[in-house]
Amino acid sequence: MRWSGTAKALHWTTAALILGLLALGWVMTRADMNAALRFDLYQLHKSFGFVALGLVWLRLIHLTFRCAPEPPKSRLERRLVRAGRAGLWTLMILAPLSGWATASASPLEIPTLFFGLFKVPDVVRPGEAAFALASSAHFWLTALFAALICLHAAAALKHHFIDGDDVLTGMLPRRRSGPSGLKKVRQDNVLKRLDEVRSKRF
Amino acid sequence: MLTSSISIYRLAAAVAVLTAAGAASAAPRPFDVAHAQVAFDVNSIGFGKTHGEFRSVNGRLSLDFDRPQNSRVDFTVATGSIETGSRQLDDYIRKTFLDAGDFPEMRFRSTAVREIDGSHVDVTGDLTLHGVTRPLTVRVSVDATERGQPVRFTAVGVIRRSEFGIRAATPIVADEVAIRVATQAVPGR
Repeated sequence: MRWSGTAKALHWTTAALILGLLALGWVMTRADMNAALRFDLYQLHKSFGFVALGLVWLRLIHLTFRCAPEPPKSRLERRLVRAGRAGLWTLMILAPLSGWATASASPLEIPTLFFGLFKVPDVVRPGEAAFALASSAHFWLTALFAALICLHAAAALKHHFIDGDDVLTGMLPRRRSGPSGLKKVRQDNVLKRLDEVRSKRF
Repeated sequence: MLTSSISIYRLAAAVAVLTAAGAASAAPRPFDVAHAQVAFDVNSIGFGKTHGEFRSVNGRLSLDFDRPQNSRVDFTVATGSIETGSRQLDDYIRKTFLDAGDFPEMRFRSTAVREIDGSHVDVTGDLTLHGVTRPLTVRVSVDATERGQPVRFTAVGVIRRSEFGIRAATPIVADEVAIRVATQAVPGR
């Protein structure tokens, strides 16, 4: 079973964004750097976080019209798939929302500028207690998210290398089977010429 | 951008020289201020140290090497000219900490100069920042090479921003802000 092109595009775009955001979040909070660079990285993290939130919202809409692969045969696998999917969807929504709450609650009161273009409204009033709660929620949710993404990727690799089925390849861009377009026309002409030469000789 | 305005001081010094003619051997001499760097460092919890500089500085110096206590200094810094390396951080500091719209300038005017040793003086003066004027003493190291050559000064001091009514983001961003002013004084023509 293959996913639609839109589903694949949304899957891989959000995947790239989420992995980038996890890496950026790790670097900006832990690495030693000057405050100016750190400030810019935080703003970048927040901006891309909103892009991710927007894309997840799009994916949710698309979910209702998608063509999903068949559910697995075994009951255990069906349960695992359902739990994994529910977990990923929940975290795709909660991770950016908790980040938004963290940015809003920060006592630093730094405006969140979407790529420097416009100010994103705050969803929580700034305060020490709200910030402590939101930031630890954001940390643990994203840590759980990272763990679940690892399991998700491990499961896909297990399908490909151990089960030998098309679960992983079904999410990969469709490979063109054989040459197409101009290349194909040229190849046909060459074959035709070859046939002519052959028929003349024999 | 660095501008130096000296005319008023030069005039004042000239008047002083004329009126005190013969009475004193050397009056404070006006100096052009060149290569002035006004920098600050402030610590924070979790975000590291923020270093910034102000690009627009107006300075007036009147120096008396024989009697340093007669020297005077008057610096005006445009608060909006802050540079940290991040434009968004600059904007944030301008709005949240400096209120640059309401307080476009900060100013330091010396009231007393005390010689510590041959190459150090303590300069006490009034610092006006964020609309609040408070006394501040900075330790200045003087690097005078030869007469007629630029004299290098490096002034260091610490202010408590809360004393100037700048309380945003405490205690995450430290109250104490280290100030460092480096400048060269070129003898006035």
